Amino acid sequence: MAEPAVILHTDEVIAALPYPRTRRTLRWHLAQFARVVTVSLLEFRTAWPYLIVFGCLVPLGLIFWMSRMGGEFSRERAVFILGGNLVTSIVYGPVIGMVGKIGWGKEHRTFDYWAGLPLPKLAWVLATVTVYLLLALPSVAIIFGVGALTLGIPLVNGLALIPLIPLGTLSMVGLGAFLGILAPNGQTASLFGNAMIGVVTFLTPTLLPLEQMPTVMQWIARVLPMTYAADAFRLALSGELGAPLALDIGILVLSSLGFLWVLSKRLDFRG
Amino acid sequence: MAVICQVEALTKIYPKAKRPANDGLTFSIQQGEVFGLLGPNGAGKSTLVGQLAGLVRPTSGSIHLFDIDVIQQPEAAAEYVAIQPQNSVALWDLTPQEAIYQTGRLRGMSHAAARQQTVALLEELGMTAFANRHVRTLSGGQRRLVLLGVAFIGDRPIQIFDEPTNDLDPEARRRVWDRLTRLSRSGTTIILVTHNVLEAEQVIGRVGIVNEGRLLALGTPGELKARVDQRVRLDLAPKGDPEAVRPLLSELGEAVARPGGRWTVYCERAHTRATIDTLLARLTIDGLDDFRILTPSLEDVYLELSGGVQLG
Repeated sequence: MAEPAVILHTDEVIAALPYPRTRRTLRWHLAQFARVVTVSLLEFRTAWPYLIVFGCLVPLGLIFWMSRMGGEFSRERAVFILGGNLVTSIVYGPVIGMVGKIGWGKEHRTFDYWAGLPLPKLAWVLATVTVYLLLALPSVAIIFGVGALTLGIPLVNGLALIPLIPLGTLSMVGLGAFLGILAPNGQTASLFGNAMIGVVTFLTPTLLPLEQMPTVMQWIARVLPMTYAADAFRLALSGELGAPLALDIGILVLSSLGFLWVLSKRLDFRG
Repeated sequence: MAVICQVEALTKIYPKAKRPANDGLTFSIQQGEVFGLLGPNGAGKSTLVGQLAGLVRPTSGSIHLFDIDVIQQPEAAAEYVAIQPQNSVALWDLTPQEAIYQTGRLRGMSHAAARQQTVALLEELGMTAFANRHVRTLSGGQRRLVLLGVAFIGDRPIQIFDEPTNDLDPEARRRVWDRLTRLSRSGTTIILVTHNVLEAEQVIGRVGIVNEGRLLALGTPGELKARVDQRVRLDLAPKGDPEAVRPLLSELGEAVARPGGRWTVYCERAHTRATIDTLLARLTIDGLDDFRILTPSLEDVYLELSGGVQLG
């Protein structure tokens, strides 16, 4: 008679858990969130200067270029230029970075590390977005400072930007993460990231007012968070803190929550 | 002994794959044992351990760690399992010290405990000299040690190692095998994927041989070795013309010429001593460039079961 292919040892009992499972309290979630933020900041130790430089380079160039274009130069135009370029800065730095992080992470299976730890996926998502927000702040501050001084906007108007920058960044980085999830591999994610340059330049009212864009492009612009972030930044810079700004904030809050929900559902740590 | 891991009819089919990566695997692992997985590249070993660690979602079947259904609760695996993957670019911008310490913290260790074990692991694995360099600047072997340190910290009761000694120099390999031996003695369950069969045989309690997603055999090394040709092999490289020794070797047993002027003589176990005495008396030890006595190994088991495909 042929020997069995597998020799099973079946006279066993199930081993008892050596220790109880972790109670996932709010405090535990916050602690894990803080640890992922720490690890992510350490990961950016060598890259953050480049992220800041790339986040500043094009927007500062555009501010300089647009402020010297022909035509009448008004306060309204100055606010338009600065608000749009703050959005451009966030897209060029954190948003493109996030697309690549998720796309290349999928290709290199770096999520295996995180999936192998007792870590809720949402904690990872929030921590990563937070890190990109923190990394966006220096370039946003530089652009605001240089832009306000160059364009003659009172620095005090920047105070209203303080709560808006995290909200705008969150919604835009959320879009970047969503694109990273859609990308089948790292190379495609890089292409998606490059495409974001075209999107923010031509399909959102960062350089050209919405009403001057072709109708089809206006439709596209209205579904992108950059449009509302740019509008909110401009309203804050011009001191218009009324209903239009509240509407922009509402849309940014909803889009941020929507992206976070999609990320927590669609970002697959497991192969 | 109690069962710590039960796998039943486990199947994984990747999208667009021509065949399952794992095909109906059923086995159990005992608490505290060192369980080896052997098989060629692409056999499905890494997919299997990925599923045990909750990193890969099975297509069908079940996995229980303790009494937890890991497929229903994959997040539970992370509380009891640590895995050292073959490769990983995660944490490449951290230093080894940071990577190990932060992983300990994420596994719930206190600052003091994580710091203490990090220092101990850096010392034990010989990483002190490069503990503060970025992982991306390290050699392949050094990175492997970092992955091992990351798996070790936190003392998970089930630890999985996927090719733990690849790329390592002999000194580092010895340190790793020593560590695995100590872990095993302390009651940690170890699942070991390796091609380094000769070294692994020193620590493995049971072994599963996998190919094309299926479990070809499972048992203790002794049980599996009992299935193959039990004759002792005398492997030798005579000096001078290899053909000159053919008549003598044929007298001693079944003699098979090997590439590079080598010969293998198969002799019955009971006649081993007499055969070796005759061989050395006639050829003398100075007449041989190399001489080895080989008993059946797990690699022989694997080769016999897989129809001759080399481990690798």
